[in-house]
Amino acid sequence: MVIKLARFGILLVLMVAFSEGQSKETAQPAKPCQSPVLLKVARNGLRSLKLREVPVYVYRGWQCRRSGVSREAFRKVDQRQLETDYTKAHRFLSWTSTWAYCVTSVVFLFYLEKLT
Amino acid sequence: MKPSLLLSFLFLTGLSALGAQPRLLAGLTGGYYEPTLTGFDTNAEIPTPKFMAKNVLYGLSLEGQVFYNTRITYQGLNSRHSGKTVSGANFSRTLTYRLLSLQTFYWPWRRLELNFSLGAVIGRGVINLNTKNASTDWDALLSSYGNSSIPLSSSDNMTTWWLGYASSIGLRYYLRSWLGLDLKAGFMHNGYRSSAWKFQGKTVTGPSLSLKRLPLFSLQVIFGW
Repeated sequence: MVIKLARFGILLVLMVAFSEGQSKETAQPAKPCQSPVLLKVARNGLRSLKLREVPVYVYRGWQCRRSGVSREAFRKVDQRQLETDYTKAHRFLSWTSTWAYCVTSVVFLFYLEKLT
Repeated sequence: MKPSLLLSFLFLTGLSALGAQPRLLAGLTGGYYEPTLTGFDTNAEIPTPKFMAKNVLYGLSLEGQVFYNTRITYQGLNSRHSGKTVSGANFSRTLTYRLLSLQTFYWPWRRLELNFSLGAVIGRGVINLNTKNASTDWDALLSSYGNSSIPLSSSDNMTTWWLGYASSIGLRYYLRSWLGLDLKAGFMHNGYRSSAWKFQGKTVTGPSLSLKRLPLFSLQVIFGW
């Protein structure tokens, strides 16, 4: 089942990458770093990408780095995304803390019973 | 439809319904647990399971963020044991634990996440034997053309399934915004019954296994967007 799922996943990624590549190929700018996907990430962060845009972003990013742009620019995008993720998730919202307390209690009681 | 396909379909449909653009994560998991597999350990007919076949779990996981601090996770963990029986037949045993959980999380520090999961376990056990036997009917037909006897290969499964629940607390460190390592400690409880195995459509008694209240530790490599 695991192998089947992995095969399915690889096939899906390849299909999306090829179809996306074909549909956008004619509209690609001459400079790879000016790709709309890279500009979108620079403006709105990595999470703004749709799943089908991810292979395109990886490919255009690779092309962009090959053209001489340093890795530092991509690291900054990554850092900024981590910072945004931290800002969004550094505290519990609504009922999620209740769930966390319940889980902690259940796991704590389980190990307490196991060890005593 | 196969249960695994149905579960994947329900998981993806649920995600689509709950969020227009949920954050998706996929992971590779290695786990450790200590079940008591009496029916396999003390059975003279089959090879004795070693550490990797008995205590190690491996599998894939899928996670989708559906609320600010909430994910729905699906994790498939497998334990596989194979070898040859005393009579020389190929034997394999697979125990699969499918964990469907609700997970909440928060980041106490930058790059570091604490997550809390609780959910259901759908377990499945499969015992497969691949034997070679002579068939008198085939032998008669083959010999009528002047051939000698050729052993036939036949394979069949004994299967069972059960329900349970699992809970864990995880510590996840993000190396990149799209790559993380997740260390989890928790437990799972399985409602396994040895009397609920099926073979050729008939209910049979299977191996005696103790899968209740098992501590479970796992390490995941997470990729996600």
